[in-house]
Amino acid sequence: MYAALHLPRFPLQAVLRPAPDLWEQPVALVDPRARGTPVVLEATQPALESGVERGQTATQALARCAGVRIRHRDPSSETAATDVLLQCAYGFSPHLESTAPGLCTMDLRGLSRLQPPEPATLQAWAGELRAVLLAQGLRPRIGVGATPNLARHAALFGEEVHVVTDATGFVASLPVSALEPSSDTARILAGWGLRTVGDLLALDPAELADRLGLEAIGLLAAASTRTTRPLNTVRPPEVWTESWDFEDPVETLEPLLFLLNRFTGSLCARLALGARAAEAMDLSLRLESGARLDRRLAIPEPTRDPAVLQRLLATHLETVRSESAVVGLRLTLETTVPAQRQFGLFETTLKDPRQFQETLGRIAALLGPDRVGTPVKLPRHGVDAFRLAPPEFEGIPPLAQPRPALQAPGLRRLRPAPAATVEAVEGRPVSIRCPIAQGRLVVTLGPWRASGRWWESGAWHREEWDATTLRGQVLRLVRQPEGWTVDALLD
Amino acid sequence: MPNDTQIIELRRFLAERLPRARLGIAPRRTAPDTLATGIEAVDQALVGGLPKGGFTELIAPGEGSGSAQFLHALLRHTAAAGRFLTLVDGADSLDVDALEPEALAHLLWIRCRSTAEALQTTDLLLRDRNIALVVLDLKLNPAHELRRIQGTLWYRFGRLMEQQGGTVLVVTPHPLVSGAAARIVSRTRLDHRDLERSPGALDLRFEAERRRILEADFQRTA
Repeated sequence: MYAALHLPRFPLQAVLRPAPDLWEQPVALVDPRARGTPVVLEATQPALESGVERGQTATQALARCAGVRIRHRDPSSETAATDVLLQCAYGFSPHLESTAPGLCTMDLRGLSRLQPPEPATLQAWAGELRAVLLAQGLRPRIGVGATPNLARHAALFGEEVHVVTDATGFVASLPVSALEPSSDTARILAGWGLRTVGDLLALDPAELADRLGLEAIGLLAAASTRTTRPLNTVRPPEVWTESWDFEDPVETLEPLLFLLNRFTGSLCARLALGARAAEAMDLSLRLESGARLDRRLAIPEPTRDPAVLQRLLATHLETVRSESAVVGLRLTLETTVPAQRQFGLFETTLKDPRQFQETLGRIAALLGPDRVGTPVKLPRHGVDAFRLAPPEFEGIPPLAQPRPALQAPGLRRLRPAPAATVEAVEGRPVSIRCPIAQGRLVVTLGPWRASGRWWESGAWHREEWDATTLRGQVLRLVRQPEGWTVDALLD
Repeated sequence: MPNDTQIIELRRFLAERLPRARLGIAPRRTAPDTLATGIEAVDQALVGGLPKGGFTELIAPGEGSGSAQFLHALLRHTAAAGRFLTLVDGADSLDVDALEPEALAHLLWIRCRSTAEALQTTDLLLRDRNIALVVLDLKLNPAHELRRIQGTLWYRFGRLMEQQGGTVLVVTPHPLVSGAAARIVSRTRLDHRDLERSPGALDLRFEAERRRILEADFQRTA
C-alpha cells in the first residue's frame, strides 16, 4: 500500500503555515518575482468569495475586496513547508518520496501497525497523520491506494482522507484531466466527448494509440490500477527552523511571545516525531533599521518540552532592548539525540532537572551564557585556561582524595586585572600605585617567567612577582609588554 | 522471613538516606540538620556544619583572611561527598587553576560583575529546590555597593530558603547579613610565606557560633 500527502494551494499554505488564523481572512498571494505585473496566484476562501480571482493584479484584487491582504510568494517558506511535510511523514513511515512541491508519497509496506491493511485501519492511520499535519498549520489531503499512482489520484481528487477500496471504479470516475494529457490531446478528447477516465478506458487501446500516438500509452499507464514504480526515497532534512515577517513593525513583547510559543509548539512536535531533542536555540530578530539581534540560547539539558523553551525565550526577550521595532524573526533549534539515563534510587542529584535548567536559562539570560556553568580546564598552559560547560551533575563520581600537597594555596583572581604603576629598581618592583593598593612593597618574590603559544599567532609571555604591601596585602604582579597589572591577591 | 536485625538495619539505612521519610516509628531527637564544611574547627563549633535552611555569614575582614581557602576547602569537601556547590561569585574572582578538575566538576560557577547581579542571581537560585548549597561571595565587592543592600533582602531570602530548603553561605568583608543562623569570623592572616605552603598546611583560624535555632531544626528535634 502507498499513501500520498497533498497540500492543495501549496504556495499559499506555505506562506500561511505560521499563521493559520489568516485562512479565515481574505488573503491573496502574488509572486513578486514573476515577469510583468504580479498577479494573484492563490487566494483564501473568504477572498475568493469576495470576488478576488486568480490572475488578477493586486490592484484589481484590492478593488474587488478592499480588506484583502496581499502576501508575497516566498520560496523559503515553501522549502520550510516541504521540510515540515517530510519530517511529519517520516514519523509514520521511513520510506518517503518528495514527489513534487506539496506532494509526498509514502510506502506503507512492512508497517506492522497496518497489518492486515484493512480500510478501517488505514483510515485511522491516515486520520492520525492528518491531525499531526494540521497541528503544524498544514491542510493536507491524504490518499491511500495499492499503487503510488492510485494514492496520488486519491489525494488529488478524493476526499480529505481517501482510502481507495474499489480501484477500478475510483479511477473510472476521475476526470480525464487527472491523467494530465497535453493541451492538444485534452482538446481532442474533449472533442470526442470523453469526460472521465472510464470513458477513455472504454475505448480500444490499439485504436486509441493509432490516433493519439505514444501519448495514448502514457495516458493508459496513468490510468492503470496495477502499475507500480520504485519510490525515489529521501530522508527529511534535519532543519528545525521557523520564521515570520511581520506586516507591521512590532514594538512590544506580546506579539513576539505569541508567535514564538506557536513556533516552539510546532518545532517540539516535529522533534518528537523525529525522536530528537533541542540542545540550543538561535533566535534572530530583524529590526526595522536593518540591523539584526542574534542570540544563541544554550539549553542545559536537551529537551523537547515547549514550555521549557518558551520560558527560556521569554526570559531572554525580557532583557532585550532595541532602538527600532522588530519586523521579522527566525527561530532555529539545534538538536541532538535525547540522553537516556537510568537513575539510581538514591543517586539522583537533582530533584527537578527541568526546574534546574530553567533556572540556568534565567541566569544565562540575566548575565549571558558565557558567565554560568561548570569550569572545565583546558589542556593548555597558561593562566585561566578553562571554559564553562553546561553543568552535568548526574553520575559524576565524588572527589576521591584531594591532592593538597601538589597545590599552591588558591588566590583571588582580579578580572579584569587592574593596571598598576609600578616603580622598579634594577628590575625589581619597589612600590605600586593602583586602585586596590598603593605604597612601598616590603617583600617581593620573583620573577617567575612564563610564555606560551610562541609558535603561532597569539603568543604571550609574562613575568610574575609576588609582593607584599605595607598593609600586608599579598599581590601577584604581572609585567607584560603592555605594562604592569595586579593579577591576583592572596586571601 | 527477614529477622529483626535486618529490619532494624533497613530502617537505619532508610533513615540515613531519606531523613524526612516517615517510617511509622517514634520520632527521636537528632542533632540539627547541617552541611559539613570540611574545616574541623568550624564544623565542631557549628555542631556539624552550616545549618540547613538558613544563612551562615563568613566575615573575612581585611587582606589575607583566608576566605578563598575556606571556599576551596568547602568545594573539595562538597565534591568528596558527591554533592555540588553553587558559587555566586560577586566579583568573578575564583582561582580555577588552584582547584582539581574533579572538584570543579561539582561546581556551578556564576560569574557576576556587581553586587546587584549577584543578588539577583541568588534570588533566582533560592527559588530552585535543586540547589542545596549556595555560596554568595561578596568579599571583593565595593563597599558602596554593599552599603546599598537593604536589610529586608535577607529576610526575603530567608523566607525562600525556608520554603525550598536551601542553605546559603555569604562571604562578606564585614558584618552584613541580618538574621544569620550562624556566623563565622576569620582570624586568619596569610602572608607571602603561605604561598609556599600547600592548602592543608595553612594556619587557618576561624571562630564560629550558631546564633539562631531555625524553625526547621525545632520541627526536626521536637
